[in-house]
Amino acid sequence: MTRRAAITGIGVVLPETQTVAELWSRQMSGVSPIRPLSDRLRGSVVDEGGVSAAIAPRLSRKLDSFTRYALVAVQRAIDHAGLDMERLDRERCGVFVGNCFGGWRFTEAELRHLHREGPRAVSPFQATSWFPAAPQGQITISHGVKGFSKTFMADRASSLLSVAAAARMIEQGKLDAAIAGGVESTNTDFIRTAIEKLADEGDPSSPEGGFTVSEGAVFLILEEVESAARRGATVYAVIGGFAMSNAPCEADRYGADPEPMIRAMRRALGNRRPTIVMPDACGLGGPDRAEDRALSEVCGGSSLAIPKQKYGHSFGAEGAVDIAYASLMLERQQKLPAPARTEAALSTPGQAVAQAQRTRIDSILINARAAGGAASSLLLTARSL
Amino acid sequence: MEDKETLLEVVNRTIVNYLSEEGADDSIALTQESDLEREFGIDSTEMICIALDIEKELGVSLKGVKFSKIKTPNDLVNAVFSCRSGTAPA
Repeated sequence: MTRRAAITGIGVVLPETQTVAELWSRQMSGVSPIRPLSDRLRGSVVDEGGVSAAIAPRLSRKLDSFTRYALVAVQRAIDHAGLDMERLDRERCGVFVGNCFGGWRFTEAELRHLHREGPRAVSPFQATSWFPAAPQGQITISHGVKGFSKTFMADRASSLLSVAAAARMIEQGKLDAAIAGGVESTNTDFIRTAIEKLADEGDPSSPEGGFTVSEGAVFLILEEVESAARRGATVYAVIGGFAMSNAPCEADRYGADPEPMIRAMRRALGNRRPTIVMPDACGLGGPDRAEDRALSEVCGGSSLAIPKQKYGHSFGAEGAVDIAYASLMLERQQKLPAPARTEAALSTPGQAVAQAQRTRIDSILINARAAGGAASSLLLTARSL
Repeated sequence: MEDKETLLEVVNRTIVNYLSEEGADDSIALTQESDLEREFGIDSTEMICIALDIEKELGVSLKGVKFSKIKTPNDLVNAVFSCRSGTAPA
């Protein structure tokens, strides 16, 4: 029997968004948490207050903010799925995390200690707090997870990769369940400077659009679909396919060649046409024009949804944000308001229009790109297919 | 140089402060033979944090101490005493 991986739970820590209900209602709200972060960058940041209170101080002080976001989002996902971790065979459960930058909030403070007071003033937790696999480590420790686990660093494609990898392990029978998603903390001087450089590249963008930045954590619970149904879990979506392709360009640029996107989308779709496409929509003219061409060639006629425009690009968490929204649309059979602008203007955020529309949705294709020329696509389908 | 009893007070206070959620916590029952890892879950990195706090408080260098052998507050006191007196670290 062919095994398939289903999404049965969603947990979020995002700017002004702490629950699945808030995640959904954000799209029908005219309000966005995006604001100017510097002279050259706009975006949204997580309010740390709610996150810090959820973690014991003795543990919290060892962690960078990105690990704190991840731990809280994972617990929320487990609760949302109604998953009893004590009854789960945790040797057959894995953790899969997408992350791009690692933990710079902690590191910047310790670098200041190093340069002002010397090496003995640096926290002993610097190494374990910074490295991008820190959330994977803390999640597995906190929940006693002992199955195959991995962290994926692939820029804004990181959490499409992490969720796809988790699904593949379930499909192959190597795991029965997985905690998969992505996390990023970008509210640091160092990261902001790096992103300003990225946002400055390419064509000038409008003051209201362009490359916006966000942060936070989104984690999903994945289970083998029949097992999930037997325990009465809600199946939000089923992983239908994934593909990645590459046409190398400069390492710090997004590609302007539509071919990798065309290849990735076609391989993820197989012979299907998606009801909805959630584009990468990076907010830079050249790469977005390339994606326009790819969408026209592969998915002409499919509706667009770009809910992440309400927050900005959250890098390691970005794919998981889209997966969460796609899962909710599939389970509710409701399409989120489309961007008000034309498909040719992926760079500019649309205004929310009306409410979510009840309509038949069979599948949703999600695109994500990485600097250096990589393109990835993940297909989610409704459980009935 | 402080005697061992004084050093034990400093070591205990440092450990309690580290373990406390907010300020000193009288409910932490620490004795000089408490197994710091087994009873309080103090791992190797946390032991380094405690050692650094003790270094700052007492103005002593604990460089060369084999922290893998430090299990109890008494072990820490002996290590500090040895470093202070210039004998071989524990």
